Amino acid sequence: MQHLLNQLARLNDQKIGDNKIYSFLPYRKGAKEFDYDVVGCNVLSTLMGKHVKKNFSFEKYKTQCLDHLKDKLSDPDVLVDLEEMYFSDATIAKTAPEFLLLRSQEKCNTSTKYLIDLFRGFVSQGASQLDFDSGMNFIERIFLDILSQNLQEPRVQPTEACYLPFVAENFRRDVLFLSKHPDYFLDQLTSCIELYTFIYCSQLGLNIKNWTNGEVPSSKPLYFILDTEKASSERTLVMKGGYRSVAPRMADVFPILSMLEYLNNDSTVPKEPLWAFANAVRSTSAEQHDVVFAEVSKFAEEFRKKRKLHPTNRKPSNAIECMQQLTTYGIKQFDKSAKGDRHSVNATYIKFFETGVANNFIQARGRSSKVLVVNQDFLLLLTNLAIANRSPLRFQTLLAEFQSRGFYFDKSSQQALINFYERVGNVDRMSDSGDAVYVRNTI
Amino acid sequence: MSLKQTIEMLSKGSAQAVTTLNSSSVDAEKLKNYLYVKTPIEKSLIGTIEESTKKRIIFLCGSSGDGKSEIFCRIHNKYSSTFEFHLDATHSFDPGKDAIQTLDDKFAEYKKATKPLVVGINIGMLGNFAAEGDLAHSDIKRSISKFLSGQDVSNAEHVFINFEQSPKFNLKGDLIEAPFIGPLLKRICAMDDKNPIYAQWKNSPDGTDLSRNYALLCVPEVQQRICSLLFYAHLKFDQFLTARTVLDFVYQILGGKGSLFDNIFCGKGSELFDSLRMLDPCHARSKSLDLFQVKTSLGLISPEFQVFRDDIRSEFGLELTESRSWVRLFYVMQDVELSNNFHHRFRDDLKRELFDEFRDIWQLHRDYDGDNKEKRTRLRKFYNDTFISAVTSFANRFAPEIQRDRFLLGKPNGFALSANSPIQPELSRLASEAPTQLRSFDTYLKVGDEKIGPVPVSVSFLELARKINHGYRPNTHDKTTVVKLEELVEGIRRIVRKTDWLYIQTDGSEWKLENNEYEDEIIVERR
Repeated sequence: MQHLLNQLARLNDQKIGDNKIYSFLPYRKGAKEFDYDVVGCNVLSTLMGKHVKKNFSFEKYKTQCLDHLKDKLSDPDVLVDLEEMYFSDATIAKTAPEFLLLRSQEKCNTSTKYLIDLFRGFVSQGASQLDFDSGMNFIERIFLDILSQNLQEPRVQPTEACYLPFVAENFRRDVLFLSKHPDYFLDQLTSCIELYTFIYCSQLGLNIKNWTNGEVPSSKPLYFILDTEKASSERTLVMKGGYRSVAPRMADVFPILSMLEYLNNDSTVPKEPLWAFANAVRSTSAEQHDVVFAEVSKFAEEFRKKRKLHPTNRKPSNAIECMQQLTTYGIKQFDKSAKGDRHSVNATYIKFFETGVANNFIQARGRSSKVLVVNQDFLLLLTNLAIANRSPLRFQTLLAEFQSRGFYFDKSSQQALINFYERVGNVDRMSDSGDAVYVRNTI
Repeated sequence: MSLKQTIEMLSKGSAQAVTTLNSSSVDAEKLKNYLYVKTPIEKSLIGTIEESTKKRIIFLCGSSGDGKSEIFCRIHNKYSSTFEFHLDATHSFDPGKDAIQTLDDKFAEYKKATKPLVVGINIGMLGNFAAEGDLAHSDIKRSISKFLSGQDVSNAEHVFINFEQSPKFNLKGDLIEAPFIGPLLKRICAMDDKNPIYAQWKNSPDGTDLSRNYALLCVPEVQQRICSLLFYAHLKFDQFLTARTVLDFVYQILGGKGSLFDNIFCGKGSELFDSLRMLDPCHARSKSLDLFQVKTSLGLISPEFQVFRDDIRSEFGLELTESRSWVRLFYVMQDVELSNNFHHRFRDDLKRELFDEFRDIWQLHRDYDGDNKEKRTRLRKFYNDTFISAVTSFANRFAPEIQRDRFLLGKPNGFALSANSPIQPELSRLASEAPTQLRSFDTYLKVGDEKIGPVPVSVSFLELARKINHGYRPNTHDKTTVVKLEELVEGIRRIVRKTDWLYIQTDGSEWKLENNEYEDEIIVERR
C-alpha cells in the first residue's frame, strides 16, 4: 500500500511528455494482428514451468530426433517418410500439447509479445506444474524424451499486477480444465486465447472508469446474441447493453491507462491498476491523504497547462476527486476539439479494438447497426469451459458462469441457447418446465 | 352439453385443464372422475402418507400437467387433518413474494409446527429452490440436490415421489405397452353410458368430422398405433407425455378440421405435434407407395382400391380426397382387418425399422444376463455390424485407403497413420447392467485390454450409426449427435495409439513398424 502512496507523492518529479502506454493493454499504436497460436504456446510453457533452452533451434531438434531413430530402426529407409510426416511444416507441434513448447520461441510481432506478457501475468500466480496424459504412440514418445532434454526452468517475472483479477482467475481455471483433455486442448487453445483476449479488453473498457471506490473490478453486463439470431431493435438489452455500451468506453482506455503510467513511476515495484491507487488513498491516514491531495492537485494543474485545457468547473475536495479530475484531463486532451493529431491517435486504438480484438464478436446487422455476437464455435467452447467437471449443469447456473466470464444473454437469446443445445444434443430435461434444463459438456 | 363441448374440456386451453381445490362445474367433475386413471404414483403417495404421521416432508414431483394437483384434490379431504398440504409450489399468493420465498416460509412454518408436510412441486422449481432457497433450509436443499443428481436420499425426513420414475411405456417383445395412456384412451372410447363422451356421441348427429373421428378412435388397433406413435415421439424428440398433453392431443385429433389421420400428422401449436409431423408416414419412400400416390392423384384407381375405398366410406362415412391422407390411413390402420385388406400391402413399406431395431436392442440390453447364447449372438451381431462398424467407418472417413480392421490415428502431411486393436463389446458388463430409462441404453466396449463406457445410445445415435453404415459421411458442421460419436472415437483412439504396432501408408508405400522394447529396436517391415 505504502509504495503506491509514495509514488503519488512523487508525481511532480516527472516531466510531462507525450502520452505513452507500457502496461495493462495488449495493443499499442500501430498494432499488428495477434498470433494467438504463439501466445498459446507461451501460456503453456508458463503453466508447465518449462522453456526450451536458449540455444535451441527446431532444425537441431529435428536432427537429434532423426539420428536417434536411425539407430533404432531395423530398416532406415522408412526414415525419409517419418521425417516428411512429422517435421515438414513442423507437424509434430500439433500432435500433442507438450510439443507446443517447440513453437514458444518462434518469432512474433511486438503486439503478440505484449499479449504474451498479459497472459503470462494471468497464469503466473500459482503456476502449477501441468501434466498431460495425451496417449502418444511409441515414436512420438521418443521425440518427447528428446524434447525434455532440451528444456529448462523459466526465468521471467511479471512486471505488472493484473488489472482484472477475475478474468485472470477464470482463465487459469479454464485452461487447467482444458489441459485435462489433451486433444480438445490442442484443438481449442488458440480459440481460448482469442476468447480471453476479447473478454479482457471488453471488460477493461467497461471497468476502466469504475475505480474511484477502490474496489476490485468485477464482471460488468455486456449483452450478446447468437450469430444465428436476429437482432431486433426492440431488444433493448441487446441494443443498449451490447456493442453500444462497450464501444464508447474503449475510447477511455488509452487516455486513462497512459495517465496511469505517471502514477506508476517507481520501476522497482510491479505496476498497479488505478483502482489499487484509489484503494490506497481511501485507506490512508488523514495526514498522508493531504500530502497526496496537494501533490496530485499540483500535477493535475501542471498537466492542464501543458495540454492547454480548460479547467474543470468544480474544485476537487479530496485526493480521489483530484485523481478523477486528472483522468478527466487525460480524456479531454483527446477530444475532437483538441489541437494536434491526438484525436486520431486515440481513434486508432478504438479501431484496433474492433478490427484486431473483437472482429469475431462484432457483426453489422442492418438497421440494428452493430451488435455483439458469439458464434457456435466460441459458444461451444465457452459452454464446455463453464460446465467444466460439473456436467450436467443447471441452465441457470450455466448462465451465471457465462456472466462471470463477461457474456450476458437476454431472455430471447436464452431460448436460442436452449435450442442450440438441443440441436447439439447435450441437454437433459427433467421435466417440461423451462427451469429444469440441464446442459452437459461435449468433451 | 354437446359432444363438442364435452371434448373441448380435454383441451389444455380449457378452464378445466387446471385443477384447484375450489370445485369446478358439475359436468367437468363428472368427466374427470370418469376418465381418472389411478397411477402407481398415487398408490405410492397414499402408501407413504398412510405409513405414518411422523413429521416429515413428502415431495410429489413432476412436470406441469402430470396430475399432481388432481391427486391432491382427491386425497386432500381425507388427510388434511393430519397432514399439511402445499399444493402449488410454483406460485406465490402474495404479490410481494416470489415462489422461492413462499417455499421458504412454508418450510419455516413446517419446522415450527408438528404436522408432516406434503408438497406438490415441479422438478424445475426444485432445482431453483436448491440453488436459491434460504440458507436456513440448507438441510432441505441438500436433500433436493441429492435427489436431483440421482442419488439416494437416505434422510428419512425428506421423501421424494417422482412422476418420471413410473415409466410411460413398457416394452414386451414387439408390443409397446402404455400403462397410463392406453387405459386413458380406452376410457375415452368405452362404449358405456357411464362414459359422458360416448353418451354424447350416441346422441349427436352423424356426418360431422368430430363424430367420424371419434368412431375411428374407438377402433382398438388405432389406439394401439397411437400409443406407438407417442412412444416414438417420446424417444426421438424427448417429448414429455403428461396427462394434460395427452388429453389435449386427443382433443386436437378429434376436434381438428380434417380426418383423424390428417389431424395426427398435420397438427400445429404444440411441441408434440411438431414431432409428430416429423413422423408422418408420407415421408416414407418406396416404389409401391409412390406409385399409389401418383396414380391416385391422376384419378387412376385400381379395382381393389375402388372396393376398399367404397367399404371405408360405408363403414366410417369417410371421404378422403388427398392420396396423402390415404397413406396416413394405411399407416394408422395397418393392423385392422378392413374390407379386402388393400392397405396391408403397404405394411412393409411403412415399417419403422429404426424404432424397431432400437426397441429390440434395448430389450436385449435389458434381458441379457450372460447365459442366453442366442441373445449373446444377437448382441455381438449388433455391436459388430452396426455399432463398432459405424464407429470405425466414422474414424477412418478421411482415409479410405486403410484396411477396414485398422483405426486411423491421424493423417499428418498426408501419411495415414493407423494401428489396430480389437474392439469388442464388454459382454460381462452388459449382463450386469440394465438400462434404467427408455431413452437410451448404455454400451460398454473393450479396446485391447482397456475398457470404455458407458456410452449411452439413443434413437438419434442409432439413426446416425445406421446412416454411417449406409455410406453417409457426417462432418463437424452438422453438430448433432456427431459430437458424441467424436468423443467416443477420441477415447478409442487414445487407447489404440499406445499399441506397439503402427502402420504408415502413403501413395506408393506402406510400412509396418513394431516397437520391440526387449531388443530396444524398432522393427520395420515394408509391405
